[in-house]
Amino acid sequence: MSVDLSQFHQVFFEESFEGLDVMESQLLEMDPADVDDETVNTIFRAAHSIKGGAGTFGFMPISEFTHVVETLLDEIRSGQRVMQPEYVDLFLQSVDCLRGMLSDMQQGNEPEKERPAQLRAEFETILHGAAPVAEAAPTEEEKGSGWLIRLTPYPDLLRTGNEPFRMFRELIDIVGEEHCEIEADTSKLPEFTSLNPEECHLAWQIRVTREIPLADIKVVFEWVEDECDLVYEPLGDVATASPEETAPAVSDTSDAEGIQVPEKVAAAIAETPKKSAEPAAPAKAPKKANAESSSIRVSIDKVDSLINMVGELVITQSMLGQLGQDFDLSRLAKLQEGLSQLEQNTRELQESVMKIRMMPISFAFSRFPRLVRDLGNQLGKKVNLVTLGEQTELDKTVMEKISDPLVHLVRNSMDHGLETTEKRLAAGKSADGTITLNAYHQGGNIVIEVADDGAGLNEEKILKKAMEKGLVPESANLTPEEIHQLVFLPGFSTADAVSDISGRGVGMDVVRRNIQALNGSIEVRSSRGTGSTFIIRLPLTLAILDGQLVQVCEATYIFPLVSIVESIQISRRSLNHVTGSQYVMQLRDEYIPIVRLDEIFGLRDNVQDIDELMLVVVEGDNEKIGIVVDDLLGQQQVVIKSLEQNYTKVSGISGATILGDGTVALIIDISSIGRNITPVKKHQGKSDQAA
Amino acid sequence: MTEAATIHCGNRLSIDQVEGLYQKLEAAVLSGGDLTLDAGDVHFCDTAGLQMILSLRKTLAGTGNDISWSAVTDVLKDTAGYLGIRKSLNLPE
Repeated sequence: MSVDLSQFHQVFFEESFEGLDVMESQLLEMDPADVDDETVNTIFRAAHSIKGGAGTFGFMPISEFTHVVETLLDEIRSGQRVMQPEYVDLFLQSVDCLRGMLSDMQQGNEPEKERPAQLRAEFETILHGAAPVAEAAPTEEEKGSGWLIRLTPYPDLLRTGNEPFRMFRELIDIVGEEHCEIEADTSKLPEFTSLNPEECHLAWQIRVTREIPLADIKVVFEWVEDECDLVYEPLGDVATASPEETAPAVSDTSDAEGIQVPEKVAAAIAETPKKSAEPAAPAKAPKKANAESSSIRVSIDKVDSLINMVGELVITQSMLGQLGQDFDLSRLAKLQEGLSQLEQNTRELQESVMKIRMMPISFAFSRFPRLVRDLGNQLGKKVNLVTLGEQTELDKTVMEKISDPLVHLVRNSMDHGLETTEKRLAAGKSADGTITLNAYHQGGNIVIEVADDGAGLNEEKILKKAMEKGLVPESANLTPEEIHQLVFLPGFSTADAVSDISGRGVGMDVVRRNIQALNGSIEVRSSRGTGSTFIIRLPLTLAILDGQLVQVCEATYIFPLVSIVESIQISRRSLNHVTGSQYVMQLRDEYIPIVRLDEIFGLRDNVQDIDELMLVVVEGDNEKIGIVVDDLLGQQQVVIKSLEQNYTKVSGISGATILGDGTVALIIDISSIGRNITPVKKHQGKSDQAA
Repeated sequence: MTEAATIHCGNRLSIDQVEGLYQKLEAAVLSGGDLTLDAGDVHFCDTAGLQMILSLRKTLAGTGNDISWSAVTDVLKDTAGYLGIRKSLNLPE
């Protein structure tokens, strides 16, 4: 049998990332002054799993790095050392470091060496330095003056992925190679011809010849306690004797062939890497965690539901098949009933399949406690993070793509939104600021709010900046709501100083563009003195779109419903001719540029009189445009197919779908159409208005 | 005197590869004589792999034969050292 271990790598990486998430969340919840044993145990177990898995799959840099993390954790959980705030920081940095190493290895790259070496040196300094010791020191009996360990594995030990040499290596790391003597007992080893090579037939006795708490040794073997006979005996006076002298008393290690000789490990492992003693270097920014993963965990309930749906579909298909074999008009009602059933089955199946991709938004929210903590320290602000609606489900791809915009919004709120403690106290507020992340479903969309209880947007300052940068005319008379939306304009920033947190003048426009790329929208509501709320609306999935079908000449196009502001009959009187074939239309108190799909896509030889057509007013990139179409058809959900993958990229088109009659309809890319209108044309509309 | 057969151990002398190597070694054992093992490419080994070689040596000893190593990597030596079977495997220094 030959097992390709690489098939398990992806699972290892996913479980390790999850383990790191557990470590991080537990560390963030931990109060160093009052450490709960179970919390430390949980963190330890996560680290131990990562180390064990990495060792099994040969990812030694990860295994070795996690070992020092685990050692310090073990000293804390065994009571030899008390948790310190600086340990929490170091553990959190280690989590970041491990994420980076895992990401590198997942992508088949060599992991970074410098950062792990720096952190290892910090761990070594702590581990070898004077420990802040817990009050209850181990008793003499617990420490022992040396230990004899008898390890007799059950035959299946190796099959379960447990590897004795790794345990022994770990033990040597703990006690030192000069204090560890390992003897193998080969007496139960069968003849080669009757050997089952996957079963373990060896046993060992290990002499630890130094004072060490038994708990420190037990931790090495704790994962195999149920898979072997394990006996610990204090060495006492025999600790200093040589293994040859004590061998008869503790084991039967000789055999007829004379091939068993007790060995001192120290000589055999002279090549064991020495611990780094380099001084710790300043911490670097944590590497970004694995952003997009290629697999998804699905609850068995969802899979069962899917299987039920498929079962129903098969029954309906069978019924229709029988009907079709011997059909006459008297059975028309039965056929209609069957088709109706098929429609219902298909819809339910679609919903079930879509649910498989849905994950609770807590996956996206989980990174923020750390972000808020670190950023709060950096900014010198005390910030509470409140998360609501964490079980709200969202498509996995949408979730992965919304994470970065959310991070930007939270950073922005902490940097610009929340005031300093002094200003908050002076304003009669609590010293601690609050950032609230809230998610909920509304009208087939998911809404995510990022709210702060800070100073709110300063409308005068925003308007002044926007005018200085020429983003709005000096004569503009904007409402507070319109002023708030200016923060999403490219190049806009009111930050007095550029920091590494925010204020470079890039960001909010990118946030908006990223959200619009997901067919979503963002708005801001703000109130001076009480705070700001950024509200993101996203479709639940990228695979299905709520669309408005329109007709232009003989073709059917689809507009994303979320982009449509209104649809109106064009009135020639409200049109102003700007230049060439370019028109703007007065829509209440604003002018909007008009584009004709028949012109853009070259659908008509003779341009039809615009007065007979319909206008769909859409909003993309925060600009309204009017798109002329022949007629409005129905609204329906459409399944998005990539035009780029199936044909080629077409300007102005974001994708395609297949309609019920089998024809292909193209989905209009509103932002792309809007960008094709030159700024001159847009501004001419405003000039006309001013005039 | 017949020349010892040489068996190449591959690059993994571990539980995921023991089945295939066992068959090669079994054929060599049945042919009789000493065996030479080429472990110059072994970059990973574990208890199952080394235990199999140990059993091989034990069986050969019963017929007055033995194994020798034409090449051994440090990884193999280190792993055997951790398991306390370096000398038992007749590994070169």
